Amino acid sequence: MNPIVELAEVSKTFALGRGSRRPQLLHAVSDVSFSIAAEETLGLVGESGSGKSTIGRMLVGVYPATSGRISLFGRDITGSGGKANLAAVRRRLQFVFQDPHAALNPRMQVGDAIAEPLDIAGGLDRRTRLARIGDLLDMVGLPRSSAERYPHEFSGGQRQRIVIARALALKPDFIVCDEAVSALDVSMQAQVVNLLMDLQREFGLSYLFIAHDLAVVRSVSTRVAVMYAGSLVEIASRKALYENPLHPYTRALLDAVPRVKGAAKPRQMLQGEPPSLIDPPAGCRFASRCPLAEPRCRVETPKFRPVGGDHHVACHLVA
Amino acid sequence: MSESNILEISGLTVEFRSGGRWITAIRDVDLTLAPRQCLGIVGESGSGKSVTALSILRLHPAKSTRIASGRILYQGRDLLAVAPGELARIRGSEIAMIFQDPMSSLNPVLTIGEQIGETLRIHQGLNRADALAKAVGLLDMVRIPDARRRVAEYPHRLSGGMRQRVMIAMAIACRPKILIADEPTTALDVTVQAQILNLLRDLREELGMSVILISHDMGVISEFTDKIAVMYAGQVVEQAVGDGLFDAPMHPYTSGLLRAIPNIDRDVDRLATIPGSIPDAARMVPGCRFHPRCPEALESCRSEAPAMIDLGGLRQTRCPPRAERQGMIGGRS
Repeated sequence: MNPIVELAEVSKTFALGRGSRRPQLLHAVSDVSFSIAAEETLGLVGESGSGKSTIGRMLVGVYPATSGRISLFGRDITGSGGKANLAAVRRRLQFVFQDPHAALNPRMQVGDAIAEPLDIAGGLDRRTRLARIGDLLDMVGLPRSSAERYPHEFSGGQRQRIVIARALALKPDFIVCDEAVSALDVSMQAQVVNLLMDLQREFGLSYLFIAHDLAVVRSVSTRVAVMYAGSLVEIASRKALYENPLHPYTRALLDAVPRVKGAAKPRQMLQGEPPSLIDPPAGCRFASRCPLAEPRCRVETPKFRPVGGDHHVACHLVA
Repeated sequence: MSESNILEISGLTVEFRSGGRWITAIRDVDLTLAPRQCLGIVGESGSGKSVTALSILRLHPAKSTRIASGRILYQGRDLLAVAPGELARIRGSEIAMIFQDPMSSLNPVLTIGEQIGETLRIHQGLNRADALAKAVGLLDMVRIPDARRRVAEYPHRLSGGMRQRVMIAMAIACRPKILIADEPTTALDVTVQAQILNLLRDLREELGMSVILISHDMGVISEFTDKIAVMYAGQVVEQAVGDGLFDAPMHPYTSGLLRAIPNIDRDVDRLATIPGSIPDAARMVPGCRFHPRCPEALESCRSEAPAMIDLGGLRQTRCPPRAERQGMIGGRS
């Protein structure tokens, strides 16, 4: 099976206070490797500042990687020739953000918003363009009459459907969904999640589904990757990750989620907060909060390694 | 309603001015809070849960909001009738409130100590030095490490979780009898959320406070509260004590909401949905407000606005057909 997305030891640093006397480097993503297969959804979870959104942005070319290699559809978009390679695959990539309100021009009719990618690509006559807008609205379950209305006439969930329709306009193969349902109420969220899954089945899409909500990620993902403070700590099939989490951080994260009728269970609470990414600690980045940390965890960076099947983890203490 | 409640809201209807007319934001809300109880109000955006909470301390913009009817009895006195000076005294000293976004509640140019101290100087008449000393104690109470040093810092130096702890320290500075927390952990990461919820739980016991927790998250509500009110489109549609709400929801909206929540402990390949969306407050549907989305709606639901039905055992629902079907009432009066 050929992966459509491949990251090999990808890092991203941002220069802060450039031009000041003491510029600082923020290590947003450090040495991350994973791949995404065709028609697969990789869930990417982690708390704020974990680097998950930076990865999403690097994958669609918004940020260049500082080091490492990113391949999309077999083409390297990082090294020399990366720009040309990105341009060649750009039509096959799309991005859906959290806030559909900010993603839509309030003065543009919904039909024009959806057709914008088609107009930029060019070459469609009026009738074909209108027909395509209608088809796209059908796909996301909105009435065709929506085309002549404006974004403010729609609810949050409907606006996110409009954004998804626009993302589908150029028939992409891979969509990065960055907190795509996080701003929606539970009842709307379920509708949009089901829509994304129907579209995947129908068009053979692959998703990188970035979210902080571990329950939503479980419901959409084929495999799940967990990030902490810029590092990938664990990746596994959804069943393995949720039923047999190996990294102490993954366990703590899953344990911290409040559950309906879950009050009776006393939980081991994670103390403190993630380390600064400006001067990240040596060794395992989770060591300062890890209930199991040993002396070597603070010195030696754990390798990201396979532990059976497609389960990978970066922890010295996992056998 | 009983004498033993510290807070009793009855028949509360609040209206907003929009485009020259008054629109009903919440209608006929009845809620009670017993001493040391934690009441959870759960609902989606636009359900009216925050409007209800803001009404207690009258924190709405006065020009565009009016309380059309209702009473809010705090220890037997109607907060809607007390003089502004008295209300200002109650705010912060007897009933305190924290919000979702601590950064917008904190003054960026004052140190944390000065801001906590302000509450103490106003309500307890402490001088600057005493107020600052007490602020250090409060930071210890909300488990901010190294409180003596932190008290001199400005809000931007703190993480989101630490800022929310500071807000909690300010809220409990005068030992309030009631703490209203409106989505206090929604902006926080899940591991930090767990810390803050634990802190609130411990403080509630230590200080003997009653708490009103407002959240859209059923998990948070389930773990933290002992009594739950579900709101939909400006009304309370169901109330229950303990886990009854989750074991046997008595309103189709509650059932739908519980089914739509993705389950973190089970693989589910397709989420259940509630079709449609929340009705617009300016064009409220007649009859039961949930009927256009309700899989169980009857003809009568389209025209008759249902009243709250008491099912006994502190259980209430605004769905007469379901109550009848469950044999919990004989027939409709």
